[in-house]
Amino acid sequence: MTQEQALEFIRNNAVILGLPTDKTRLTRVASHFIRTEAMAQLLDQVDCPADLEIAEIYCPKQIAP
Amino acid sequence: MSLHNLSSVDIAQGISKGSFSASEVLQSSLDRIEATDKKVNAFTAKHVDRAIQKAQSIDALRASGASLPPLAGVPFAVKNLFDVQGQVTLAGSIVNRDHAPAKQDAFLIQQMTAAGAVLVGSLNMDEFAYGFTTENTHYGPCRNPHDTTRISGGSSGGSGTAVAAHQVPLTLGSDTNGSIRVPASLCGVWGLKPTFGRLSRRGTFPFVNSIDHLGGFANSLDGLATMYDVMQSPDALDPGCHVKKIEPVLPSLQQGTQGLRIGVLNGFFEDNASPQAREVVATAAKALGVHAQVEWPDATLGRIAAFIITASEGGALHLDNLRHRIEEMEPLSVDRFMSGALQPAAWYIKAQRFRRIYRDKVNALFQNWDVLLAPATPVSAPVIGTDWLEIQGQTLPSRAAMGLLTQPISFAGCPVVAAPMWPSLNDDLPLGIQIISAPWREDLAFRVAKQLETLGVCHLKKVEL
Repeated sequence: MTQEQALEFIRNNAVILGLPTDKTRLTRVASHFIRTEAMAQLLDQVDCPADLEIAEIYCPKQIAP
Repeated sequence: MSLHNLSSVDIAQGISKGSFSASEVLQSSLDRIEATDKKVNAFTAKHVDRAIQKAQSIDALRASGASLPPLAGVPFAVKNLFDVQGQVTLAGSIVNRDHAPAKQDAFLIQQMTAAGAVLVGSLNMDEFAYGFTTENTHYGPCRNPHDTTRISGGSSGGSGTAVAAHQVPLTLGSDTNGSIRVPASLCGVWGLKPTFGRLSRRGTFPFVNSIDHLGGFANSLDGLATMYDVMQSPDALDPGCHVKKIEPVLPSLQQGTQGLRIGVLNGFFEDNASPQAREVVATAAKALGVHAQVEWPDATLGRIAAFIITASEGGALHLDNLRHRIEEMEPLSVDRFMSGALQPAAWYIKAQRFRRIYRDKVNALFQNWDVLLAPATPVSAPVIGTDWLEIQGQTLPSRAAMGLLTQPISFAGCPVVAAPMWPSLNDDLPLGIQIISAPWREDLAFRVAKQLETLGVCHLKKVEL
């Protein structure tokens, strides 16, 4: 991902989420985003079978009788 | 006698025997805070009135002849993301200032208070716990008591500092990716990050719900164990609290290490460690007679997954602040929050699914080992304002790199005692180790820590301020 591609992604999604879109800030955010994207690529190579659920925190509460 | 130098155990015993009163101990702590806090900036609020009231109630209890609870009259303080009744929970921010005051104390403060401890104040931290340095722009940087030009670590920097500066013997903090272990290491004090789900988080301002832990700091291992034992309780009102029963560590603390299978983490934990960090682990291993080298599974991927989950959940939690009050947020972390808020859902889901695989691999490792040792931080405390670190020929962003060695461990939810050590290569700057055990086996980590304390390998040092 190039800096320009990251910047475009950041800008478009910032608009969708109602976040600030000034270029100076977006450029800084894009630098962080690019570093994370490089890490995410490594994680993406891990094979996760379809039945592998996410780690849980939500727990349904039992209805009191 | 300087009461502020005593451990919590000595304080509780002294009050019980009548050597001094809880009110005298409190006054000593408040005097110490007054004398030193301008230099270290650990406290953001003092709760003097309630502390005086509590200390007087302990003295009255003793005068009545009743038996005293285990932490009777022991002063403590909390990271300012803990709710304190009648106070606004800042979580290191200024945007929270217009929140309503807390209606009740956080659950763990209630547990500590029920055990007789005296809450004296709230402590500095990185804004919303997103940092490892406590260079808080709004409230000023927290300064390391061993060298006030250096960081205390974070995000529970005030909690580490207050103990190291002898302001209070016990503090509470939170640890998502290393926020107890990093300041414990850099400030040279004992720290505990229990198993994920062990202690209730009710009444604290969250950062990353699926990884947040609460724990504490102490100036003695016995104090840390006592504090941990009194804080334990099932809590049906915290969906992240998984315990059904209390499992105290004090009864087994003196059992020694005979029969325990102890190893030293290599690979990732050596590659990202300075000579000083490797030295302290080697010193501890030698003292314990440990030679085995152990590889932690997928440490790099574990750190990456923790990093992605942290950014996504943190960013989502503060979306409204990012939309409307971004200029009031911490400049050192706000761009990371925004980047996290914009991460694709696929990255987050993949990281959470990987956590299942990771948990099973880490648990498999503990089929063969009871306790593992690793450095708590790659380096000792950098100078405040340091942007980049050189570690083993790599240039890394300083503020993120401080959590390199803690992040893979907490992502698996393993309990860790952070033990204070003093590399010979440093000028009286501490660098701690992580004593890691299998999930739900805090007792084993405490036993090894006790052995290292008994051998004189792990200890605090007095500071002059």
